[in-house]
Parts: sequence; structure tokens; C-alpha cells
Amino acid sequence: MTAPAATDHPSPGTPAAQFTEFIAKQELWLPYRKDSGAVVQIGTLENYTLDEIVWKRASGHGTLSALTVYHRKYDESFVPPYNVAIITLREGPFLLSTVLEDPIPPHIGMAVTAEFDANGRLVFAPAAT
Amino acid sequence: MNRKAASAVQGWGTSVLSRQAGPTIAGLARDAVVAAVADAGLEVKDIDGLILCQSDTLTTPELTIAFRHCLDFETLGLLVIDEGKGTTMLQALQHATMSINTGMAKNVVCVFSDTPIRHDRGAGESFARPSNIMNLPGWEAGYGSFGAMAAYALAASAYKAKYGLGDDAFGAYAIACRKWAQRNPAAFMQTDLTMDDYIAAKFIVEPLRLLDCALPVNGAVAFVLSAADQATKSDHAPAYLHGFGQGHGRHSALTALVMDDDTAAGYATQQALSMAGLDYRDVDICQLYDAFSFSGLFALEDFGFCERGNAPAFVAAGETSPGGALPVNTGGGQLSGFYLQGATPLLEAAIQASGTGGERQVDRHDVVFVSNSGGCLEYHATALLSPHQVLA
Repeated sequence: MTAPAATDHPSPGTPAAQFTEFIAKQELWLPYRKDSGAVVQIGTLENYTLDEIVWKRASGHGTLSALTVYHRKYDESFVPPYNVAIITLREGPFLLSTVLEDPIPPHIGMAVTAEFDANGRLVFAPAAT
Repeated sequence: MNRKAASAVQGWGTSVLSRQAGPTIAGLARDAVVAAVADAGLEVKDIDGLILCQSDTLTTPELTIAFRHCLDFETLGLLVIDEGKGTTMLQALQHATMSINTGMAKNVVCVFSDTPIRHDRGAGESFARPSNIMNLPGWEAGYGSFGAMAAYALAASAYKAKYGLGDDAFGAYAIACRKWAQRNPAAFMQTDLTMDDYIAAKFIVEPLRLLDCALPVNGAVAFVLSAADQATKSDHAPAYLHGFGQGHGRHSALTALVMDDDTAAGYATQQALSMAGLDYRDVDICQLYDAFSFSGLFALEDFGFCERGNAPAFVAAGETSPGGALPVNTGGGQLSGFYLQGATPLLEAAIQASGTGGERQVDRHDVVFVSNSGGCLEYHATALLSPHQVLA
């Protein structure tokens, strides 16, 4: 098994590193192109330099777009069952994360909001109705 | 208008295919090359081009150009390693054809070899690297998102939700492939498979069950290509290559589903059909890269053979099964046959096009479509094979 590399992180001084630095401070900020104002998908951040990006705080609101439940143990740190999800933020970018299963079981299409768990991980919870 | 083939697949062969750890990648590749050259009615000294297909599961290359010394080749005019994730095998076929038509080489061998099953790890572990959907180093390991399955299972969940599909959504596809496998002596999974068996199978990454996943094996497959008008010395008819294409777009299956957009699979299909002067309606058989049942279904739509959202019903109606309107993965595919990446569908396409499919041979096999897909269905390559050197 390939264990997750603890030192695996984006190169310093890049937009990707900036994004994860915000996350480490338990803040969710999104990148926008300085020239056009268009929001940038997180997965394409490596195409930009920090100078080309402006950051805006995210609303934290999104929709659950994909939802999987792991039943196979891939790593000692993750005891099945646990879920991995894709959340599409209201602003457009999507994020891979996990969704809290309390108070209601998650389902695709449900509204969710961002929060940080006890370990400082960005997670999503069912939106208050 | 008569359309001549671009090249001919004269012969093909495999090493021993096995679920046990054993010979090296190079050793298996050598066995497959020897088998393919003999099948083409040629000798190793007749080969003047060699394309080595590298498995992207390897962290260090195990099939290098030094493989040239593993066999008694004369001087090679072409020697290269291709690696394009799941598209590697068809890319090699395409590069061989271009090399032949520019005069670089006359008889080119393309060989793929892989050993995901090792003494120190099983196939599951070989494919169980942290996923890279976000392109943010370290991010996905923090959520326990692992393996080739991660992106496919997410995409499958989005697909099910988009079309309101039930728990059995992918079952009919797995069952159809098993029916074909039962007609293929080389297929690894031969037992009867019912929907009850399918539903009872354990989830690996829900919504994908064990029976939704490809069956990895250790082994190698090789193909010998030459000019279309080169007389065959083989005992069987060649499989002529009439069209091919690639499509590497902005979206994977996952991001296409999440963002309601398309992958470049349709582009790769149009390129191949246009080159061959053919239409979708001319395709008699599809050999798809179906590492997961979901990807086979999605491919039917993505490459343009079914309307969006219609593939599960098309398959459930038996249209891809033996006797159906569009036979798909007639050797059992990667779920019930064996998984050797892009070599699996190409091998079965060559067999069907040459009419050597035995019990599983499809009567109408004038045009066989082959797909190779990699990443999470974001890299695509296609080919069209036929028993006819000239298409009327």
C-alpha cells in the first residue's frame, strides 16, 4: 500500500499553497482571475501565479454533487465506513471533502455549508433549513 | 467511394495471464512478442519497429528500451516507450501505423505488459494510491480518498443521481459481460452471474461493488502491424485499421457530470469515424475500456452510441449481450475477461475483426470500434478495425 505522504503539500509561493494556507487557518477563500474576474477551479490553480489571482472569502454554501462511502480499508487512519464527497460551491468551484452524517443522512443534491472539524479539516454539514 | 485501410494488424499473442505473482514485466513482454510474431507468420528478425507500452501503475519503469536486447532483433528503425495512462495501447497502435506509413518501419510490434499482482502486494494495493482529483498535493489523503476507484465511484454516484438510477443500475452491465465471458475460454470469470449475486456482492467504494470492478491479471499482450497491402503470412485474416483518433479534453467523467459538460470521448470517436469514412450506424461491435461497470455504461453514452442516460436501459434490454443489436466487450471485457488496461479491448477487437472468436464470434463484424480511456475518463483513444482491407 502507498501510504499518504505526510509531507505532501503544494509548492510554497503558489496559489495552491495559498489556498491550503487559508484552510490551515480554518478559512475558506476562493481564487479569482485578476484580469477577467472569473472564479478559478481549485484543480487548475497550477496554471496561475500568485500575481494573477485575487482572493475572496467563500460564502461556504454549496450543493452535494457526488457521494461515496468507503467500505474497504485503504489506510489505518481511516476506518470504514466513511464518506468522501464532491461539493460544488455556490461560487462555482468544487471541492473534494466529506459530509457530516448527522443530523440527517446526506444525499446528492442537498444543500450543505462549510465548517471545520475538531482536526481542522474542511468538512460540510447539511444546511440549516 | 472506396476507403483503404491505414494498416493491418497481422498477428497478436499473449504471455501466460495469471492471478499469481510470477515472471517480470519484461519476461512476460518477451513471451507475448514471440507469440504475436509467430501468429503473424513472421520471425523476430522480420521486426524492425518496437513500441513498448508502459503501465502507469509503475513508480519506476520496468519495461525500458533495453528490452530490445531481450530478443534477437535485427537493427530496429523504431524503438520507443508509449505511456498515456489508459490510452497507451491504442496510442501505440496509432504510432505504429504512422511509422509504417512514413517508411520508418515495415513490421512493428506493440507490446503492453503489467504485473499488478506482486509477492509483496495484491492488485488492490497496486492501484490504491491517494487519488488526485483536486490537483492539490496532500489534500485527498486527508479525506481517505484512495485508489483508481475514488474518482470513478464519485462519478458513478453523480451519474446515478442525475438519472435517478437504483441500486441495480450497473448490474445488468456486469451480467452482460459475464455472458460473453462464458463463451471465451481465456476469460477468468466463467460462473453464472445473476442480479441477486450482483446485489449481494460487497461494496468496495459505494456505489461500486466488487462485481463492478475489473479483474487485474499479470500478463502481456502484443500486436504486429504492417502496411495494409502487405500480404499476410498468418494462418488467420488480418484485422485492418481503418480509423483512429484521440480526445483529451478539459473534463474527466467526474467533472463533466458535476459541471454538466462533456469529455472529449465524442471527439475521439468522430476523428476515427471521419478517417474511416464511417458513421455510428456502421459499427457492429464495441470493445470498450471498462475498468468499472459504470465506465462501460458511461462510455456507451460518452463515445456516442447511446443517448445520455440511456445506456443502463439499453444494456438491461440485452442489446449489448450475445444476440443483441450492439455486442459490447465480447470476450467478457475487463470485468469478467481480464484487466490488462487498453490491451484487453484491442485484443478482442482484433479477434472479432479477423473472425477467430470461436463460440463468441459475432456474425456481423465488418466494423469493430475500440476505445481506450485513462485518468477518470479524461484521456481517450479510439480505433476502428475491420476484416476488409477496402471499405466499399
